[in-house]
Amino acid sequence: MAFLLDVTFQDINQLESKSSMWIEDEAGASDVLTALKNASNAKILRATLSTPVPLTTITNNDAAAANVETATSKAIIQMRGADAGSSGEPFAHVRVGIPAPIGTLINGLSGDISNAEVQSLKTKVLSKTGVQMDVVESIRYSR
Amino acid sequence: MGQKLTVNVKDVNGLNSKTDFWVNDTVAALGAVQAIANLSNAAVISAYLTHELDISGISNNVAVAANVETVAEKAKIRLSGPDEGSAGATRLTVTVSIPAPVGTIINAETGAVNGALVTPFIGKVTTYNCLTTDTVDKVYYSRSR
Repeated sequence: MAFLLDVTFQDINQLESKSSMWIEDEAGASDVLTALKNASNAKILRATLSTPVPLTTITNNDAAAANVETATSKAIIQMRGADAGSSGEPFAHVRVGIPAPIGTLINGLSGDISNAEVQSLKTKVLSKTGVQMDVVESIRYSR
Repeated sequence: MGQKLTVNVKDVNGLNSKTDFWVNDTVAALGAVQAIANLSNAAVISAYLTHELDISGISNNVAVAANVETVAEKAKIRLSGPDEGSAGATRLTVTVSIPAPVGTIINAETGAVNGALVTPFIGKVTTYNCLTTDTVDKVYYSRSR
């Protein structure tokens, strides 16, 4: 399995650019990053590594002609993290888009936040800063 | 720190779309992909997890005003894999872009294929299906984003 390495560069005049390539393993990433830096006058701003998620175990994974067929129509599930209490921090929020949502998720402009699948999804979603989602706030329709 | 999960879907009419959010690990990613499949009339066609790499160990990581300052100018290093011989398969090629290349890589329209700054990519860069490169075919100059 190959890994996709994405590297963002910034030059002396703050212009940014990106270079992407596949590498054999995660251990080899640091060697490639060093080789890239040695070859460039620009600074490496950030680097990310992507790995495929195997889909062979996913069930019910067929496209269906149903209430909403098109993948550009989405149910937007808004979630938030737990109340930080006395620390007074704002809630961490996340929105997850569900392309071509099924009718039992949303059937109009809003959906049922107690939907079992949505509640299951909530337990797996984090904010960008790593805060676990705790409450589904709303489900709405978006195109 | 979580990892970013990107899920690509295709509907029954062949239209593609994607959704992305953060999850904790591969197990959570699989559960989330299953939930997406259950909640959507579209089929999940691919999914991948992305995490940040620690770049603090890269030495000399500062931008320099030198021969080529701008990252819009790139040296392109084209690498290839081994000859498949009697299998008759197409010889794989991979291109690595170097923004704002240093002068010892390229200093005109082309550069040396055996340069010390070029050869470290051999064997470490692969195709998407993990076929390894073993040769630098050419180094050339390109202006692009």
